[in-house]
Amino acid sequence: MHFVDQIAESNPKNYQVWHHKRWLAEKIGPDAANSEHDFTRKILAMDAKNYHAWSHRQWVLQALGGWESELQYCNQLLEEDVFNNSAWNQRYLVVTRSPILGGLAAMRDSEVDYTVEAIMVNPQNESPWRYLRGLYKDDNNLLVADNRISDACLKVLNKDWTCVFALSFLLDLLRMGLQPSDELKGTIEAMENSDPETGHADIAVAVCSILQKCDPLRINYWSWYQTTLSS
Amino acid sequence: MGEQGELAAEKHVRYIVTAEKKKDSFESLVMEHLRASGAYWGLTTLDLLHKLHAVDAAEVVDWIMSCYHPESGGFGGNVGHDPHVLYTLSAVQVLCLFDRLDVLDADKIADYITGLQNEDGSFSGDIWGEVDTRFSYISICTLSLLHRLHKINVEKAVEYIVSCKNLDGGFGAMPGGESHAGQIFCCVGALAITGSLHHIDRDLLGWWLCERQCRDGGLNGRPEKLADVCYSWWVLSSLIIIDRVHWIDKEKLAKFILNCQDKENGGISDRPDNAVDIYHTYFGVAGLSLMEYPGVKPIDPAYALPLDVVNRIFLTKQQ
Repeated sequence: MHFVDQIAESNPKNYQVWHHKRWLAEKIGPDAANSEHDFTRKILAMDAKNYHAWSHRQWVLQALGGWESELQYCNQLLEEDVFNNSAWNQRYLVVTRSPILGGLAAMRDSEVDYTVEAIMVNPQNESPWRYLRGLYKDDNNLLVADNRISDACLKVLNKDWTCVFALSFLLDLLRMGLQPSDELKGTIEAMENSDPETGHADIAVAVCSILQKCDPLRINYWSWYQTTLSS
Repeated sequence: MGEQGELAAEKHVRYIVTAEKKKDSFESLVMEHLRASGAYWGLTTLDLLHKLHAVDAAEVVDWIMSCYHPESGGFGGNVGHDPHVLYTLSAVQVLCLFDRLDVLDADKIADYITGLQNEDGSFSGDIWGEVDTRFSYISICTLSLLHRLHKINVEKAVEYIVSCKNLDGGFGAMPGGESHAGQIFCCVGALAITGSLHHIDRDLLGWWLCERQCRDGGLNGRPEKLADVCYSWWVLSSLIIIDRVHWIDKEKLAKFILNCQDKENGGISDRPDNAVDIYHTYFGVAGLSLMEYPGVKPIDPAYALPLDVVNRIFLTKQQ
């Protein structure tokens, strides 16, 4: 395995080498877990988004174990680079599949706090916004009811009303039934310089037209989205 | 469009034809283990630019067949290299270009691939057992081109692919794997070929895919990564298959691809001003094809072969 590690280190994007490591690790069994985790840690220290290393790390966790320090490892990587989508993906794997953390429902509360904090520090970061959605999986009602999330959108927009991720998230919340607070309505009106709106559907349409201006690359997507708001 | 925004088709053709001949160049050496795929990228590009006749068909067919392993039914990446599904698909695709599927023992190749399907429906790349949704696509695509898709357990294959679907609507290499545009193309392509696109939330995935477009007009493969010309294929073909390609700005993407050309020596690179290679040349031209760029033949988004080649395979009498 040491021999293969040397080759893998100098060829970290070679599929065959990673697979060979897996084949060897399978033969060694759970004893290989620690050294395999050390190895992927080393590779990820050079390139924190190396897809092969992440695939291998996930395989080792699920086949050989070593979950104990994985959440902390995600914390460390995100501290180094909060834009690392792979680390956010790994975090989701740990939170949902770790046999020692209690599952998504148990972890959700603290994870929402963690993610909202990350968003506040860097709102122009696609990953935590997606992660936030993932925390509420199929439960739109719970998502809409969590005030921390709509508050976060509002806070971000008050500082930067062109933040597409915040606008888009807000739009989804409105479509799921969020009743906008007066503060929220006020913020959106200020953006649009429009007359006071009444029903929330109009607010959603307002957000949609703002998005068409702020995110012109995806103007067709936002135009389409607007057509889904008519109900 | 000004001079800056033009496709230097002649230069690219010359680049590919020359590269094919220079067997001891640096690029050739680096590509040695995947020369069969290199052949597919280069030759498909030539065909898309209406220049397939620039190479000797018989010579190419002979060389491809010299990569064949009659005992197993698979193709290696080069002469003397072990068989793998990656190069088996590339070989079959090259033979499709030249309408020479007649030289193949289709049943034997089908057996090779069928033998690589695992119990959970996934596919291994070769006898050593690596599993990845890329191999699901490759197996399904190859068998479909050979009219032998029914030889695998299609239902289980689809089941496995669906198990790799993530909450963002995308797909990874294995269950739980990060959504990645390359893997998404493989899964979406495979689901398209097997008539199983109903498993995809088109609006959700379409949004994830259109979010790949960066300010410079290029496409990346995952959130917060740099744009790369190859994603002009992986993302674009996926969008076309799920009928959401109008959600990106095609003009800006075309400009990005054209900016990645080496207009002096030919070839296309991953991003502007980098070194060119056959791989990115193919994906750049294929991306332009999907956007109906003038002078480029249309390409099939699922089979990654010119549309007229695919029509010839499926609309004429089956073998």
